Amino acid sequence: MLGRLFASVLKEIIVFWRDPRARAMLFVVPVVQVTVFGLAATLEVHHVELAVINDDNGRWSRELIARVEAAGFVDRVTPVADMADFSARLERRQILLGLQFPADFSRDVAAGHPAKLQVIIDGRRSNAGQVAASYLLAIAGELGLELAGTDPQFVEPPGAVVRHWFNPNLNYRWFMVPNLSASLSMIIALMITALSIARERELGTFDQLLVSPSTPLEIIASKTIPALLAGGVVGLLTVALAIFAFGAPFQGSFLLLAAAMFPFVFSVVGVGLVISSIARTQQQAVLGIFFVMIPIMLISGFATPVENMPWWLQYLAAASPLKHFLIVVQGSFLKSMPAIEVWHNVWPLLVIAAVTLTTATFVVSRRLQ
Amino acid sequence: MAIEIVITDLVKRFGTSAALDGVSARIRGGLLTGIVGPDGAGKTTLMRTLAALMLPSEGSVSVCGRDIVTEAAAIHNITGYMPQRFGLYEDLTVMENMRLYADLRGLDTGSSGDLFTRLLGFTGLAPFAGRLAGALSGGMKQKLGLACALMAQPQVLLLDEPSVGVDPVSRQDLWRMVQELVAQGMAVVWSTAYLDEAERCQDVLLLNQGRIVYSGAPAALTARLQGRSYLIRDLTGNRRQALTEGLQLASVRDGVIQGAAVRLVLKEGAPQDEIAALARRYRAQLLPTAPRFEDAFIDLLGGGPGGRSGIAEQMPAIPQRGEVMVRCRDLTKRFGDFTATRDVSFEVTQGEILGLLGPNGAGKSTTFKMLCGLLKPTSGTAEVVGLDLRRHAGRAKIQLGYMAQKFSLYGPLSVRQNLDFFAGVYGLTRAQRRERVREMIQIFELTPLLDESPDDIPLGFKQRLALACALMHRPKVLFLDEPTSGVDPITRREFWTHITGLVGKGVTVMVTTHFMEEAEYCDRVALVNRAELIALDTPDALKAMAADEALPDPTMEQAFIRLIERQNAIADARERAA
Repeated sequence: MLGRLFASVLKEIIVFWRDPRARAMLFVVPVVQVTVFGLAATLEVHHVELAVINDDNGRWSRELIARVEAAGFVDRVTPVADMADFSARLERRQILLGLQFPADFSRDVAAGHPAKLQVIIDGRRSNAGQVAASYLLAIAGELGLELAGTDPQFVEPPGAVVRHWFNPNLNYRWFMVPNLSASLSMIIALMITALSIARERELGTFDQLLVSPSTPLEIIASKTIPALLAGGVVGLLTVALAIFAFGAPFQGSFLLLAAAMFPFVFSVVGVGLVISSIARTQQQAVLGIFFVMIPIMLISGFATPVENMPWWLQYLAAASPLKHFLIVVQGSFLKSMPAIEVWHNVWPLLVIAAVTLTTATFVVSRRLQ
Repeated sequence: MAIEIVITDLVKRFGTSAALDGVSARIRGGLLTGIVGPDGAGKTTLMRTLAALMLPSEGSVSVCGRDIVTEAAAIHNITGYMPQRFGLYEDLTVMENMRLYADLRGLDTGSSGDLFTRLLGFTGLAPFAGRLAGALSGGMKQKLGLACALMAQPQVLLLDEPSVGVDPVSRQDLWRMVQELVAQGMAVVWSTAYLDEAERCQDVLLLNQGRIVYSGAPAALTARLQGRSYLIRDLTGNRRQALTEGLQLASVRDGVIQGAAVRLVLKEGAPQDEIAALARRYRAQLLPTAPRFEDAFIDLLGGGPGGRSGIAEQMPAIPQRGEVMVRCRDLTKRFGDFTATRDVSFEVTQGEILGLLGPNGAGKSTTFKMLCGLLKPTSGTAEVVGLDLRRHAGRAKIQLGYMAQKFSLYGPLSVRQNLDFFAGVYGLTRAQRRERVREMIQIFELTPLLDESPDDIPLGFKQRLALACALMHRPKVLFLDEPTSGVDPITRREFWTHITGLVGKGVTVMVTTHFMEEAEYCDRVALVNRAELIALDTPDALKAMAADEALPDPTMEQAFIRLIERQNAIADARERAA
């Protein structure tokens, strides 16, 4: 039995390793993805162009415009004469947003009254617009604070001051790149396993396996091990890239993270093998991957916090291996997550793995009928 | 313009190897031309070049006066081409596939209603017009492919191995359709590795290693063999043993089993003393017989492989106790409402070759799969070596070997790694593994190919490797699922030499096949039709069963067709009555 298993595992490893695309997947994909995601997929907004309708033209509106112009995220501030010109520019996407100062803006400021100005955002680019608007608000708030500091007659309370723990500058890469180590190892492990049985079925070698004394459990086990190795390697490689290439802080225990990586990949392998045992062709398996992977990503907290989801989705999220492991990854990078906390998030992975691998074994033996 | 294809000094190279090496021929309208040759002879390359899908490296081809290089588009308009696997859309119905091909050909679908009706009638697909192409049997798919290829009403029809995987009944239908087209003046080219088909063509081009070794009427080639073919009949003793001995005689060029008889072909000018002595030893009659095209084909290619099987010689003999090795009782398999196999019962005793034959979709492969443990029966039992496959799957599986049509080998693994894997997966000990792998490499002469991928080695070696993998654990029962489908006669002879040798050592063999020559090697043949076992007897007894006054001495293929048609008629009558 051990000899048979060894032969099967060796076969799987050779089959995987002989495929140049599979090898490329193992090393090139993490590097490319980490670079692309790390540099491009950011929520920060840069290179904003905005227009100003200044009906006030007084000291304070000019001061504010000068500060906006000097801000890092702004490329250019274009003064426009009227609303019609402004609308035209917005429609042509020349500008992301605009500021309109009413005629009495500077007067109100000088008098110590609350002054109003209008911010008009291109709703078609709502994300970037909102982020840019929040930057503008910060600039205006800063100016307000300074005025309050110099002149005792300003009674306007300074707004709440937010301090972010663990990632004080809300550096988006510190959040994104560690997450990638989880999602990439998941994708690789899913691809390898979901295609493996389906491929053998297409080539006819699966029948050959089924007539041999190999049991369904052995077949599943032999398909698990190479995927576990590949997923683990990719995950740890991405962690290394995050630390050394992107300078993400790593506060936790590397050993704990590495130890948690394997139960995670294990649970993903289970999901992949369920897909593969059901699919009749590789094409069906690929469809299966998409059917499963996108919900797993969406409800995992990869992009949006799980806490913001409706209660039933939060329960469903517990079935997503990625959700549990993301907590461990973020915890290991940004805070020093203690072992017990890691364990709290690892045992659900083991449960998922047990359920999925049992299902896959069951489906393989049912398929004999 | 005359309907003809003129091929002049055609050369086609892939890298450094020439798939076609100086082919010159003339193919005429109103004739059925067979392109015949062993696997890898260049048949498909020639067909694709004639269809103007491939450019020649040297030489020229003209189809109806048009050059394939400069006027490819015109050629596509006047030729119909049916590749080995016709590009049918499995998720479209028969009718939708036809409409699609009509549209692709730029035919006006509105006015081609008549054409569709005619083609559906011609191919006998009219009752299935609404069925998904993916749900058709192999034979029906080929007919639909033919209908689509005929859509443009071509002057030249190119059919690349149209009968591979098609049962004899459907093959006969295809054959009849093609004859009709030829009668209308069309030039039809039919490539095949089946020599009985070649024999029925009016003209053949015999290709070997990219060269034409014979062109002309098949009968003229067969005539060269006059006086060299013999049958040894009424043997006492083992006819397979007699064949093995016959093939080792210096004067013998080729030999096969033909029912209860052994067919031997002498070398050119060789005396018949040796085979006469062989016949005497088996107290049999030696009768001269009419040569077949296949005898001439093998002779032209330098004779068949010898009769010795290294693997059989190495195998320890399994004591013959006349045990029942495979047994099934009331074997039934239902998929939903559809019954694929109904109440099939039979037994196979040790050292026997049992052939499982039947038209496509008759339940032959379902039955076969239940017997080797790939499918679980809905009811009834299947036993191998006295072990129920459901209850003792593990123990039963160690006793059986399995080889499928597609030679289930791992492409990414080298030849040696494949051998190692199959040795390992059958749980051999390390010492056994090393010894068996070495043995297989030596017997099947795989040494020069050890580091190659099975995908890249010649078909004959691929077959040897698949057999080596299936025999690694020395199984007592061997299951062969269409083992020589699409394989040329020489490779097929070599394969049967091994099987014959193994059976001599006490191995039991179950084989499914569409190939009637293979059925002749079987001790008994089980004929499956419409999910039921309709006959189970020796090949000669089946032939006798099918014989009547009009056809006193049917071939195995004719017997097959008759028995199936007879049962269909009875079943249809019963249905009508009910």
